Amino acid sequence: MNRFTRIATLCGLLALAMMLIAPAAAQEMGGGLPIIEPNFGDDPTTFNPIIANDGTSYDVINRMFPDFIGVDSATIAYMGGAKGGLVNSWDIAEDGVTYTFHLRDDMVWSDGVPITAGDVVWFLDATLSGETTSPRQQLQDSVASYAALDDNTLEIVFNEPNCTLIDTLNPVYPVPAHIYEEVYGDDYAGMDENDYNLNPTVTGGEAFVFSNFRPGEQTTLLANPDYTEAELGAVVPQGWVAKIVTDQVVQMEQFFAGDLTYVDSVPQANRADVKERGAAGEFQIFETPAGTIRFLSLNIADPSNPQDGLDEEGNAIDQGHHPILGDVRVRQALNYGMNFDEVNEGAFFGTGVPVASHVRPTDWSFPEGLEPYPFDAEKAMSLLDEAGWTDGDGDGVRECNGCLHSEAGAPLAMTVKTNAGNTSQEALYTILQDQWNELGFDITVEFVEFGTLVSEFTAQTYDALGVFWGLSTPANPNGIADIFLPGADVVGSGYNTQSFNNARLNELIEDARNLPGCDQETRKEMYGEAYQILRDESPWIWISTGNVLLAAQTNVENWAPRAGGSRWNIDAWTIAES
Amino acid sequence: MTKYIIRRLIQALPIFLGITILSYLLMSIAPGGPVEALAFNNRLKPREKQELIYKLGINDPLPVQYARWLLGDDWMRWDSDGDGLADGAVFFIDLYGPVLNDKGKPSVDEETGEALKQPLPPGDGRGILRGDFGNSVYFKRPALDVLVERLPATLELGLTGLIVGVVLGISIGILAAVDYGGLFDQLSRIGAVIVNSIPNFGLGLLLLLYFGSALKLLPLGGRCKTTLDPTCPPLPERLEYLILPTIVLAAGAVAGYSRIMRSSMLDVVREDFIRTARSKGLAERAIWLRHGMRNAFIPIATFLGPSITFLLSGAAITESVFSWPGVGRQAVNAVIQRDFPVVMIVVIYASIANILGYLISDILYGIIDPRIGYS
Repeated sequence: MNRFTRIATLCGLLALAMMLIAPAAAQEMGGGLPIIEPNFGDDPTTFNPIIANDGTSYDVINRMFPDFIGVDSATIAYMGGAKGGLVNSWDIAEDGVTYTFHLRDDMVWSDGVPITAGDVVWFLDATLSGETTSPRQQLQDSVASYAALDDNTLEIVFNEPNCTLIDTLNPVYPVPAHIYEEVYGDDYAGMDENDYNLNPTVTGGEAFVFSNFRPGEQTTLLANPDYTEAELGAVVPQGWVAKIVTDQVVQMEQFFAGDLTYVDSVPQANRADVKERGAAGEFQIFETPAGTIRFLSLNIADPSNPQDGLDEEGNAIDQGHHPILGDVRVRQALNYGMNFDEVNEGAFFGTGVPVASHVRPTDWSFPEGLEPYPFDAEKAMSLLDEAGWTDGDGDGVRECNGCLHSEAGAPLAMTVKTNAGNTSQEALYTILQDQWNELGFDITVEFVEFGTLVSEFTAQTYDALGVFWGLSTPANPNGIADIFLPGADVVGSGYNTQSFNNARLNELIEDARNLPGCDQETRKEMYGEAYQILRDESPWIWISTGNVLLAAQTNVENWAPRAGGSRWNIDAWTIAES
Repeated sequence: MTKYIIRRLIQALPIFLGITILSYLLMSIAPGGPVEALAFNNRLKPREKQELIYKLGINDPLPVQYARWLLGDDWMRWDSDGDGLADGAVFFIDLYGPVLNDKGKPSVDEETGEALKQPLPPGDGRGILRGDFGNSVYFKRPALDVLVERLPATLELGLTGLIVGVVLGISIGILAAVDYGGLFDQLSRIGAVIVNSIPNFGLGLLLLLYFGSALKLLPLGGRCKTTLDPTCPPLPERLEYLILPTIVLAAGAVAGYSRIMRSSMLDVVREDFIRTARSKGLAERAIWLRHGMRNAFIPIATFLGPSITFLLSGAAITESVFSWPGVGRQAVNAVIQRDFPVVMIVVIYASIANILGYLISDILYGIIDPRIGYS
């Protein structure tokens, strides 16, 4: 091998090495194709976690700000050191109210400044000032004081010990205090109107950092080169785009055409097709329980005279009785009279999952033995007979004949209201109307504009009203206190709009919340009994939770959604050229 | 003509005011409201909901709400000593608000039984007449910004749709009139009926599914290719995104203008002066184009004003189907969200476009027909 050949060989090897290294280097620097996901809604309202209050904004914020306490995507529970969380671990003092949080020391903002306890303190200062429009004012009710002990240690003292204090901190984020101090100062009240909310210069601690926002079109983030939790050592996708697509038909066509990387909720009308094509290998698919449940609230109290549940001294106020639904046997008859299979096919394209309680099967408090009411028309009719509702004149509609709360001869007639414009809700209640009328009810269904429906719901002037309820992740079983305890029965604003008050349930929820030691199994048993009471007493008809179908293109490597979220490893998604 | 325009603009002021009163009234009596739209959120506690109601002034009488929107409230409740709390107010405005308990109910003094009061912050709105259109309830930033950032997209699509609609419509109308009773005339009539029968959202979806999804010739909506760039490239580099929404938007205009132009042309060519032109031996081309067309334009000018209004104030359905980031789509969202300040600013914008549209129509009369003077 002469000198020239040696040099040429060396150069060749060098070139080959460069070619091999180049893609890897590109990947390390966020050189993969960007992720493009649809946003079927409006623009985000802010990128400031202190005042954010809508799902679209949170979608973006969660890509570029770490949570205070991370959620383990496998167990769907808060966990020290969980990916995406600032807290490594925490200690609880003997008093049960002093929590000391130990923070990670390797997270930095996009300008290189470390993320510290001071950044969490700034968030709490602003939020607890009461001057912002932050929807997290509940922190005020539970947090007594807080202080950064050092850069990586934060102490929070709560007002009283209970088992849901960590849940209370769910909406807390660190914010870049050195920037926020400069931009907002102490003018918390003016925070909403600051242009910085939509043009943040410093973000970080998550897989992406803010790049730009095009109103009405898209929000764009870029790979965070300083992200320390990347599965593959560095964030692979070059960026992440939330693209507004306002029509669901067009959204799915864009996905089929490969314009969108993935869809995190395939519309019901497309599910069968996408599942079939997914099974044939055209897409990757994943199905998981939805974060919402459909319910029908049954007003137990007198709708003509709505009252708060408790007076100023905390004593129960007489609620009167709903002329029909005030009797538990009628409420149970409605449950037995619901043919879920028919409803599922007719309204949910077969995608619904019947539920008996407020809890998803993936939640730790899920009561395994609690079954939804079976469809049993005969049982329903016998309950109505027993309740004094019979069809004396043979016209198909039952009348009061010894019923508890109506005048003799009054028909078994009531109105069910739901939100107009939601086709599945409209189909659901049209089918239920037929099913219940078969039992001898005279049901009128009204489809009402959503804002008006909410007004009637909180005003407690309805008979029966059906909407959705969002479930928190991780689940906080104590959330049912906001719906079924008398303290939440506040005319005009509380959510116990059905005016339910059951002494044993109240006791169980309070005890489960304040259980010394907070043993999860014991609490699960207590909540299980609470759910059983709710099922039997039926202040709501729990209808369906449904599943969400997620779909991704086949060229997305490492797409591995879990029940706790589809984006837990978004930094590792590698999109090959198709 | 300047005097005429100024006079017309002055005459438009009461119309404008009437539109704002009517719109505000309609919006206020419509079911639901911003608080209801925002409040179905289990994070929002009863007290916070009530605070929101006081903050937005939704519980004030309607005339007060309208006056606040029109004239602002910095003169209604003021802070003389600079302590951040109001110390003076006009007679129809409360200087003190209730102290709310956790249930969002006014707290009562246990000893006296009287409702507890606290001073309210001073008003800081200047009202639309002083250029303050208020903050979007949903976006929590100036409603004017929400409108302005969507105007370029609407103008881009609206002007293109208008130009294509007018040029094609007039051309087809003239050709149909020339070919009166012939195949082109029949086809243009059938085409106009078909186009007018298909709703915009249906036509838009059909075009998207056929040209975008099946043939993959054109993009499936949007204003430009999705990239990481902070802006869309210049218009000439993304014309393909404009084609389908323009077709949908212009289709109705083409159908309408072609029929008007055709009938107008046919009326004109039966006039004596056209017969005279023919008897003088003028070429048919000159008769149709120089004498016929110009006179036939007068009815077109009547329809141009409303067309300008319609296209420039945003085509809500077309913009929604094509995910076009325009004013119309935002207006629909604002109505759903009960975002009154944004709804109202779109109404104002549309009213101004309407007034200007009709003014342009009237000015065009004079340009097309010199017999019409401005007095």
